[in-house]
Amino acid sequence: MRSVNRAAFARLLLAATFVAGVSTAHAQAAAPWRAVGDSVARDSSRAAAVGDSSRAPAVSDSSRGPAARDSSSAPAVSGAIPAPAARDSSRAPADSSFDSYMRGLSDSTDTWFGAMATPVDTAGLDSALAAGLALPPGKQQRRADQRRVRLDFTPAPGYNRADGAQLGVGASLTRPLPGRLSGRAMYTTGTKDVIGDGGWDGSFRLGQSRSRLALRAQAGRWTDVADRDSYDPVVTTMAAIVFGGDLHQYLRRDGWRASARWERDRVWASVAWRDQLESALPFTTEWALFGSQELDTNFTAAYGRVHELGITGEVPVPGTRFRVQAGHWTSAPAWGSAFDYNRTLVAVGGDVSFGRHFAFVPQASYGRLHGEVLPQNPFFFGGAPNVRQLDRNEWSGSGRAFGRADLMLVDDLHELLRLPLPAWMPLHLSGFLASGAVWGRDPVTNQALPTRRDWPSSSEWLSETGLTLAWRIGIPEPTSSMRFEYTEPLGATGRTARYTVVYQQPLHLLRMR
Amino acid sequence: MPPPALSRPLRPHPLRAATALVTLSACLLWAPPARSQGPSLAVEDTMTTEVPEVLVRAPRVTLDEILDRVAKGEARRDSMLRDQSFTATLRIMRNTAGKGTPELLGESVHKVYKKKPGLIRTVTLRVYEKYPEKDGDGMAEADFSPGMGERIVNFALQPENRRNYKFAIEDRKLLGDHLIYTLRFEPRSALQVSEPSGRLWVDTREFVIVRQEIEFRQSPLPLFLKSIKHMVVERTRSGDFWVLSRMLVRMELTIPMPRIGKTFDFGIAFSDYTINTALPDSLFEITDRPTNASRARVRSGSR
Repeated sequence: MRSVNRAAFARLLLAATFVAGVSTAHAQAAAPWRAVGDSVARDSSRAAAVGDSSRAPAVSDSSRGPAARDSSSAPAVSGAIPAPAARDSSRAPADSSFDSYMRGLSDSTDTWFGAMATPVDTAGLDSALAAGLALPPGKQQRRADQRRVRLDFTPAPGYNRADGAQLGVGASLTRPLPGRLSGRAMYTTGTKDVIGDGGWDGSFRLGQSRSRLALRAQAGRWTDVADRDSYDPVVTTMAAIVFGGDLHQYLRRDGWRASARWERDRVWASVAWRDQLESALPFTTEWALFGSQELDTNFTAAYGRVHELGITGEVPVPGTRFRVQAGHWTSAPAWGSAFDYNRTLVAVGGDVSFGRHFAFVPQASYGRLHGEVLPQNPFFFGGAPNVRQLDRNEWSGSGRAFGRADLMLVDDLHELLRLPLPAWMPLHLSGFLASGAVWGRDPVTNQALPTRRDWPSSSEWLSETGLTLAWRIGIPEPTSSMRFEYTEPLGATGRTARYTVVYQQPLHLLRMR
Repeated sequence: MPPPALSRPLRPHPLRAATALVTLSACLLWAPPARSQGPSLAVEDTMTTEVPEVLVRAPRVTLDEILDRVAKGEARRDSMLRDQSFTATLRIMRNTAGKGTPELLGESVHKVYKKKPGLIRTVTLRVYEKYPEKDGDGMAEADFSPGMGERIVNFALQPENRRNYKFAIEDRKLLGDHLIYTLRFEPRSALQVSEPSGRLWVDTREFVIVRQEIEFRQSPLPLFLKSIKHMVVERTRSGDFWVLSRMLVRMELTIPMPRIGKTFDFGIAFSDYTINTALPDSLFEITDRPTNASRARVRSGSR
C-alpha cells in the first residue's frame, strides 16, 4: 500500500511539473519577444500551473483548443498550443487590451495628481493661435527677447587677508548677443586698489553632434591663490571672515587669459593660454569675526610675466565608474615668459558599490613639477585636499603623491536610526584610509625645492585613518557635504589625532573643470 | 472581451510549498476508499493519443538586446521626425498634498511648431499667474528647444548614460499583440543616491518606451528640497509615432516658501500633435539653440 501511494505521489508530482511546462510552452508561443532570463515569465507560467487563471497568459485560456482542454497528458497539451491564426481569430481586437491597460495606468496617475492632471480649458485658444500666427514669425519671441536685453547686476564681495574686503559689483549682458559679456570691479580695502575683470564666454553645440565647445576670454587684474589645485572661494572666504581660518597664499595677476573647452558625454579636453604679470601681495588685514587671521603673513610670489599653456582633460576608464583627469601646464622663455617650468598633475578616482548601502570610493593623484620651482607653482600638501594631520598647505614640494579610500554608508542616518533630525540634514557615515607624500621639499622651511626624484622615499609618506560624519547639503553638487572628520595618524609620526571640518565632495581629487 | 492580462507572478514561498507538500502526502497516505460516484478506471488503463507538432516561435532575447533595440528605436524615431506641432500646457499648483486646498499658481498654454534642422516657433496662447511678476517673466515661462528627442523619456538609455544604470525586468504583461515589459532602472553607483531611478514600460512590439515613473532615493538638494515624491512621464501614440503626452511631478520643500508653500506640483501636458505635415519654413524663425531635447524652463519666485 505504501509503495503504491508513493508511486501515485510521484505521478502527481510529475503531472504537476508537466502542467507547469505546458504553461511555459503557451507563454512562449504567445509572447512575440521574451528576454533571456525573464524570471517573471517563468513565475507567471507557474501561476497558471496551480490553477490561478487570472495569472495565466492572456491567450492561453481563451484560445486553447478542445484537445488542450480535455487532455491531461503531456503530448496532448503540447499539441494544444494554438497556431497564430487560431489565436488571432479568437482574440479581441489586438490593441484594445493594450489601450485599456495604458488608460488604466494613466487613470491612476490622474487620481494620484488630482486637479493637477485635469485637461486644459481650450476656450479661446483657437482665436489666440490665429492672432499669434498672424504676427510675423519670431515677432512674439523677439518681443520677449527684447525684454531680456538688459544688464544684470550682482554684488561681487570677497575677503582675504591680502586684499582685505573686496567691495564691488558685477554685471552681465546675456542677450541678444551670442554668449555672455560679463565684468566686475571691486575696491579692496586693504591694498586700496581696484581689481576686476571683463570678458566673454559662450557655449556652442558642434553641428548635430553631442559635442559642445565652450570659449572664454578674460582680461583684468585678479587676486589669485598660489594653490591652483584646490581652492574653494566661497568656503575660504567664509573661513577668513568667521574665524580667520584662511591658510591660502595670495598673489596678484594682471593680464589676460583665454580657454577653449570641448566636451562630449563624459570626455572633455581644454586648452588654455594666459599672459599675466605675477607679483606679490602684502598682508594687510587681520580682522576676523571671532578672533583674527591665523596667518599674519602672506608669501612673496616671484615677480615676472608668465606666458603659460595649459592642457587639461578627463576620460572615463572603460567599463568602470572611474575617471582619469590629467593636466599639464608649461611655461618657457621661448614664448616670452619669465619663467621656465613644466607642471603635471594626474588624478584618478571612482566608486565601487557594495549593494545599495555601501560605496567604496578610492582616489589618487600624482603631481610633478620640473624646471623652476616658484613660490606660486609648487604642489601644496596638508589640510582638506589631502592629509588631515597637517595644516592646510603646511608643506609644499615639487612632487606630490596622495591616495585616499573611503567606505561610505550611503543611507541617511536620519532615516536608518530614526534620529529626530530635520529632513534638510541628511547624515552619512564613512571611514577612510589615506596616505600621501610630498618630496622636493626643504625639511627646515617645508618649502618646495627642485629635485630629480619622481617618487617619494618611504620615509616621506604620511598615513592616517579616520571616521567621517557628513552632512550632505547638496550645493553645488548633490554629493557636496559638510564633513566632520576624526583623523588618527598611522605610524610613528609623532602627530596626534585631529578633528577637522571640511566642505567637499567624496571625489575631491578630481577637481579639474 | 479582451483576454485577461498577466498579472503579478506568484512567487514561490517555502512555507506555502511545504504546506502543499504535507497536505498532498497526507491525502495519498490516507488512501480513501473508492467512491461509488463516477466511472471506475483500471490502474492499467493508459490513454495514448497523437497531436500535430507545433513549432514554437518565440525568439528569446537578452535584456541588453531589448535595451539596445529600445535605444535604436528611440534614435530611429527621432530620425524619422521631420516636423511636429503640439499644444503644450505648463502648470504649477501648490497645496497639492497635506492640508490646504490645491491652488493654481500659474498656467501657460503654447502652440509649438518644430522642424528640422533647428527651426522652432512658439505661439503663447494663454498665460495665467496668481502672482504676476513686474518684469513680465512668469513662474511658468516656457522655453522650448527645437529638438524632438524627448530625452526626459529615454535619458537612461542614452549612450552616454546607459552604463550608469542597471536594469532589471520587474514585470511583463501580454496584452493582445503587445508584450509590455516593466523595467526597473537605478543608478549603478550607490554613491549617487540622488540620481533618478524608476520604471520604464517598454512595448516590445515597437521597442518604444510608453511610460516612465521616476523616483529619487534621496533628495538632490536636501537643504531646500525634502523629496520628489512622485514623477510620471507618459507617452501617447500620434499616428505612427509615440510622443510625449505629459510629465507630472510632485515636490516637497523642507521649508515653506512664500507663494509656493511646502508642497507643489509641476506638470507639462502635450496635446494636439501633428507630425510630418511638411510645415513651411516661412512659419519659423531661425534659432541656434541646442537641438537635443525639449525643455521647459520654469522659474519660481522673483529674480
